[in-house]
Amino acid sequence: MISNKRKAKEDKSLIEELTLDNYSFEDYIEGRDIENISVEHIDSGENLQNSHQEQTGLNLKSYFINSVVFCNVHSKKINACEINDVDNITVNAVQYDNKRTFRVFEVYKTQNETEVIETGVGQVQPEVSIDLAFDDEDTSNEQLPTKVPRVRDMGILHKIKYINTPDVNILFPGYSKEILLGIIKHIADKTLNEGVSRNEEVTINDLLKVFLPNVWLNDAVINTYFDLLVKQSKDKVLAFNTHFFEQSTKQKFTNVVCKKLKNIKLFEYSKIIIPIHLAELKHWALILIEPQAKTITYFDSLLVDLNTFNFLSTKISFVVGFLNIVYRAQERFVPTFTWKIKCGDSPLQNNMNDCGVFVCINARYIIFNQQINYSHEASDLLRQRITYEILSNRILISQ
Amino acid sequence: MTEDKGEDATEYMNLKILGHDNSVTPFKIKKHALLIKCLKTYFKIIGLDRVSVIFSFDGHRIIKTDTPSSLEMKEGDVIEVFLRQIGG
Repeated sequence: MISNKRKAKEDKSLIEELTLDNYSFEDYIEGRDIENISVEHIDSGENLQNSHQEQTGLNLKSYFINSVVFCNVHSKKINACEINDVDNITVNAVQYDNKRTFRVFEVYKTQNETEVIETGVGQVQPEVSIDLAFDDEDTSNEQLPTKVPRVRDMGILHKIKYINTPDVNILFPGYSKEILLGIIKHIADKTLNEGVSRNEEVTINDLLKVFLPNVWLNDAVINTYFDLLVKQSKDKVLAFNTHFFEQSTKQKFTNVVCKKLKNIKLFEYSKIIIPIHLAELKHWALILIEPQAKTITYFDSLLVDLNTFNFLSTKISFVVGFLNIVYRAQERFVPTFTWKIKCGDSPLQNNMNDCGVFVCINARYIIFNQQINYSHEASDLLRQRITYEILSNRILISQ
Repeated sequence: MTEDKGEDATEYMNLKILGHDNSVTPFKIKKHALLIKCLKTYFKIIGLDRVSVIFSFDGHRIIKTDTPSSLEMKEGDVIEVFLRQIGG
């Protein structure tokens, strides 16, 4: 009992620490006055961001988008303020103190002067703390089986049909009606938020995105499937996370990306596969790098025309730059070879929904050194195969 | 044993959250506190939906039961924020 009480106390102190008043951004905001923001900076988010980056090395853009800027007015610590009127810079600022009271200021800035008027004092609404305090009860509610609907009650499982094709032995070895019924039975009793077996990363909700025909795949499924593939491959294969490409193109080679790659000797792997998510097109594609042969192959299940290729080549050339940097750092030689970029031979999809499936299956054929020999007609069966493989936590290898 | 744990629990750690838009948010947390609580506060400040975001540390997706000590975090480590990706 006592230990429980102590625990509760600790938790409470933690909660208090995390509420808005103590959860301050002082570390990097301190000493920056409202004067730092001049009119032309506010006009364009870019300039504001740059001017702050010079001073702090940080990016304030995100706060700007939400029209919240963190700043410090006349040494009164202001945690959050909102810019109402860009031209005259009227700022509503809110100051929180330790007793969870807050003060509202209006800050007017004319050409020479800054005027701060206190307009109100208030108490932080109790909802904020309650939400955090009863977090643990939240999770217990989720586990109550009566409240959350099960998959069988959602009326979606009838969309999955047994598929009878002569190529079954190649596409899904061991496929039978019993196996399909087994998968459906396994899923039907679960709720959407439940994890798949021991694997917490994929929930039933994610898994249904593969299982149901004509649904878009998400990152959780693809990452898990690629992990499975790498685990079972005989060659030395490296698979990157789906977020790697997006993160690296955006952040270039910041500390985080470099830290990740520091201990990975890329040039010792026989194959590197990168699933890439093209956010602009809402599309999945695959890049295969063969470090020994110095080739980069791009697999896309949509027809690549000239416009898209131009768009893509800028992205793929990023991979080349990245490989060269890694090569210089790890092998201590200036790379003298050239990388060949080519378009891979992927089957084409006949709808706008299956690209994630094609990425997974292409990767499987590449890793196990098999000839790609399927077509879009088999996509529903392949979806069932991926579901089965994720559920049983192993890849089926056809002889 | 319990005393040791009590001492540990009061120890703070300074961690950082690297947002999907490259913003960096520093925060302080106890070693045995659940990370998810801290991340919930982050949602409130950034204004993102909980479902559309993934938190990852060293390639490991942060789940409900994770604490800094269970993930063997060190001072100054970075938690990354990713937007959910979906595509066809």
